[in-house]
Amino acid sequence: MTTRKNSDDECEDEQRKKKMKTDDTRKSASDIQWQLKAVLADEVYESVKTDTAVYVTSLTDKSDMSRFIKFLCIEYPIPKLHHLKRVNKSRILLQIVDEVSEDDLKEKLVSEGFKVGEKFEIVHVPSKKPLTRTQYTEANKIWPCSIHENKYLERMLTGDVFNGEDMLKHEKYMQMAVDAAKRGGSCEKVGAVVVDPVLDQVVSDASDDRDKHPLKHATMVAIDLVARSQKGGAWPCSNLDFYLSPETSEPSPKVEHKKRGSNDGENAANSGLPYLCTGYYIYLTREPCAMCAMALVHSRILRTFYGCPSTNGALGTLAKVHLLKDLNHRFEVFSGVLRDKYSLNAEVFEAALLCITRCTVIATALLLDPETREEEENRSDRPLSGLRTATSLLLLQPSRDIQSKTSSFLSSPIRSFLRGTPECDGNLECCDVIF
Amino acid sequence: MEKWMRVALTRAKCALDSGEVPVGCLFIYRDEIIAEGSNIVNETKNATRHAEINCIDEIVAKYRDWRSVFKETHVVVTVEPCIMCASALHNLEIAGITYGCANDRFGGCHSVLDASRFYPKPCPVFSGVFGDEAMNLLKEFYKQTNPNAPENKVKVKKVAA
Repeated sequence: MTTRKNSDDECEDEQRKKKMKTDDTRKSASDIQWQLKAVLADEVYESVKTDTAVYVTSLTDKSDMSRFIKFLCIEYPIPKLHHLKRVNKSRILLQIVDEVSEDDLKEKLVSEGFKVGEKFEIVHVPSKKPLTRTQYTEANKIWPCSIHENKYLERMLTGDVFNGEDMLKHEKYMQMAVDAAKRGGSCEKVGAVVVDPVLDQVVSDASDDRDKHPLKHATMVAIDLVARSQKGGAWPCSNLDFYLSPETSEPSPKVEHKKRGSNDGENAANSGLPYLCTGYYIYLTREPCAMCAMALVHSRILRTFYGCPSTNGALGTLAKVHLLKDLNHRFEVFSGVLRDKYSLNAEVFEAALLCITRCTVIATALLLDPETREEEENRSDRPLSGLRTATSLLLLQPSRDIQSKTSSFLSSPIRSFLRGTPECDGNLECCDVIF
Repeated sequence: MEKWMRVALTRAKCALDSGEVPVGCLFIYRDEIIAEGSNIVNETKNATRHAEINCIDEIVAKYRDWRSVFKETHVVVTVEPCIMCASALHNLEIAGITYGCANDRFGGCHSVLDASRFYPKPCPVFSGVFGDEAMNLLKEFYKQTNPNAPENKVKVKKVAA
């Protein structure tokens, strides 16, 4: 079994996938308990909108059909509805209602000697061309249309992009990110691991330190450590973190050839050096904020994998920074990596819990206070509905205003308790649970 | 504000001379410059080392109570902060941002995306102070080519697929 993916050949991938299914008896893809989900543009998920009215008629003399269609294509081309077929059985699409009046159109057709129906039918058709098979099927029910099927997009939609071997790698690297999150000094437990997928090698492995420095989100730290692996970087490397030392990061000539094309003579060393995060994957325990998402754009990351969405996330939740058309770099994003494996009753990552498991005991005690409990349960907007204990977890509703409400609700006893715990600085707003 | 913007422009010119994207930035706290920065992306090989980021670093190192310092600090920058920097500044609940010219490529205040909507306490943003001067510096920079950019984008994509 090959251990390195170094070809983009789809056939080979398919073959390998089949092989994985049949003969892999070690840790295999079937052990994977989580589901990968690509974060795609909104338009891909949109349902078909019949937003354009068109005139439709049929010919009384069917033998005139081909001349009629030819005439329409020349006199009334409809570039906006290029994806729609002109003919639906015996019905013919004439023109968009807004473009021409029914009388003018009829007059013109009659003057050309076509025998059209008394009154034109008005049909509402979709103006957007279908992007996915689902949209195609839906649009086809309204009026026959064509689709340039994007097989890769279809696989992205079903989450079937990677073979079993790759999925195991994603799991391995996300596990590293989870470990990084756990060891971090910050109250918010986030981890980031940057990987060179061609060499199957970790380039940097970073934990979060935002309590001490507002910019040191795990992603930002990981990016700076990548720079450090290229003899750059601006921040000193914490002894909790790791980066590939510049000496070892220069790829061996054999691999380099495959990876970065031909190099000749003395230029080889220079042109073979990595540039920013080009060609790299990053694994994050949770969806990055807008700052980190944009930092990944600047760094030209190839793919981002994250475990859970977050309330202030910018790669799916609040925005899709990786898909902004105005930017000079776009990348693929996948969520859900390793997500279910660590969930208990709710979808919460283990790493996120470290800072709050100890305060849960008090939260439970507080909730047992009947008055408080009733008050919370009766609230129609249910701002604290998430505040219940699941085994030993404290769950909070994923919204911004809830954080402040929770912190006042859990006020002093929790705070004093947290101050005494080494994992947390007593600031409950920092206990941002990953959902 | 014009006084500060002149200083920032001088800083941007220096960046241009050292081959970095010409952006200059000042952090003003109680009518004093407490941090001054320009891009050092090429020097650090880190594409996130924008002028604003460097200034934030400087202040965090200088002030123990940086959280409260930021809340009273006004940021003066020659070019509209990118989405990353704008997000960082709104998150710090900075007192305000004033910039010179818009940034059509990465702008995080209005050009590409408005990052203020992601944050509960966004700061006010002002623009147009010596915008032409800042824009001219940028134009001068983009006339040159970026020696560090990857040679062939198609090749990079092929590896990824």
